[in-house]
Amino acid sequence: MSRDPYDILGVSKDASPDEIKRAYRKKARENHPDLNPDDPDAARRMNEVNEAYDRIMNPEKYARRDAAEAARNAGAGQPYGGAGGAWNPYGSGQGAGGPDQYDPFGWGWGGFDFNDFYGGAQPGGQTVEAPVADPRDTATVRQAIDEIRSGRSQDALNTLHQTVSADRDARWHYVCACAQVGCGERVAALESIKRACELDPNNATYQRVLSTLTQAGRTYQQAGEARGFTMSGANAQLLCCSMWLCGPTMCRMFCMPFGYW
Amino acid sequence: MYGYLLADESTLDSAEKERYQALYCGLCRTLGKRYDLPSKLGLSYDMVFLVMLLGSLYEPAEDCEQERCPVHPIKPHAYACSVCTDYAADISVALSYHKLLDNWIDDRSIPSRAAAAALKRSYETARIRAPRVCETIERELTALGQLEHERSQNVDKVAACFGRALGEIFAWRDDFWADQLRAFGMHLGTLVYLMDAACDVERDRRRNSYNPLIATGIDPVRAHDALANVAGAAADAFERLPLERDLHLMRSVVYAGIWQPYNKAYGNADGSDRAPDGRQDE
Repeated sequence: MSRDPYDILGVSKDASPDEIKRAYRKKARENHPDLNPDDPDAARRMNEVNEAYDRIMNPEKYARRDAAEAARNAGAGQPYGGAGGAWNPYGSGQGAGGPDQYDPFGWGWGGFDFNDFYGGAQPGGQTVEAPVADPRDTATVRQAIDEIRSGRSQDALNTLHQTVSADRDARWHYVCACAQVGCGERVAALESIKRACELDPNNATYQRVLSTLTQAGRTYQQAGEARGFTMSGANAQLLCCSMWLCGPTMCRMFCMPFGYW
Repeated sequence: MYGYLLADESTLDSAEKERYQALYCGLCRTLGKRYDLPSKLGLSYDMVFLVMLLGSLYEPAEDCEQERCPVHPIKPHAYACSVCTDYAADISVALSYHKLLDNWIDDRSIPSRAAAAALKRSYETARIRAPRVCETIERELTALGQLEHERSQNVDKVAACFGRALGEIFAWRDDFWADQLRAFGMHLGTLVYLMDAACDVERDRRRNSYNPLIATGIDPVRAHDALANVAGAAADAFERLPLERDLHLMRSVVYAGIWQPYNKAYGNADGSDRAPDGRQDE
């Protein structure tokens, strides 16, 4: 894209996201091919508007793509593009900082790599440090840490689960959380790090990981409250019954089939 | 997994409530015209969210009129429909059909089996109208059923099946926005599945039915942080879409309404006991 995306949308660089959305809407209504059937250039302009919006709202995606293209152009003859060793262009669970940084939101389910959409800046924008072996670690924990640092988080989980429940201390739960992050098991990872913090409340590393793994939720709550919403609210059934004129009986017939509520 | 994509009424003004009802009535009307009366059994506000999302993104022309119907026989009521409502009606039929089959398989519910039989022909029509989405729904719900049968302990993997299904539902057209819609649907579908699991813990425990939170020993109240994380991912994806029409209504779902069933089951987990005074955005 040769033109500045802000110029294409006609907004200033300090425009808020909602202002950018409104600007997009205005340009879309002006340039959409369906609304300009006799204009052969409308589709091109619409694509330009779409990409301009996408570049402003998803800068991480284009930063990764632009870096990948630059590396491909600069690293001709090097299969992984440039210095620094193996580089995975699909970012499957590994953060931009390499094997020592774990992107807690590097979800790669079902063929989708969300790093393609949101780059390294996942909701919360933080990464989890890879665990480092400690002389006091059991052989099992040490092996799991090696596997995590080698990018084999699932092997690490299998290794860790050889430990009986009675021997699962705070350190075990912490390393387990790191492995679960690597495997994309975010619900389990949060539960594990909470357990680690409960067993060793004064451990700064565990608290840091807990803070990282709950950042997205805090950001979400703040974003909702900034817009006048709260995660606690009115009873859902009141919505349906208050909006229907015929009363609860007719309402249930159409609004709550199969006892869903 | 219905009843989660609902707006929080306390955050809506009167015009928005009328708009929300008009969209709901439009969906009901479309189900009747596009399919049949039994198809209306799956009518839900969850599908109104789909209508709003796609309507806001693509801004199709809307048919806004007033009419009487069996539920409103005396006073004409407003409805609003568009091509997005047609698509949502197709999806409503597909999801209803699979939900009824699921009830029969899991609980041997004879009413569900009978209702599924009544919907079968409509489902076959929906499958012709939306083949890619129906294939994905079938595939992912089959995978989900298998994981539930195996009593999987991988909560995220199980939830992702419904996430992928909703992602494909959201990606209505193969166009510039398809991937972003899939991403949003993925996170939102994962959240809906996890919310439903959290809300059904006691019921599933009584019935010895599979529940991923029971299988992994995660307390549903402790799961609040995990749910908030997934909600955060969904909200982030939502806010990256260029939406203007019905934006406040949809935000009411994404930031507040989606928590209502969970709060009903477990109280206000964040300790707040007051509804907001009103809108602060827009």
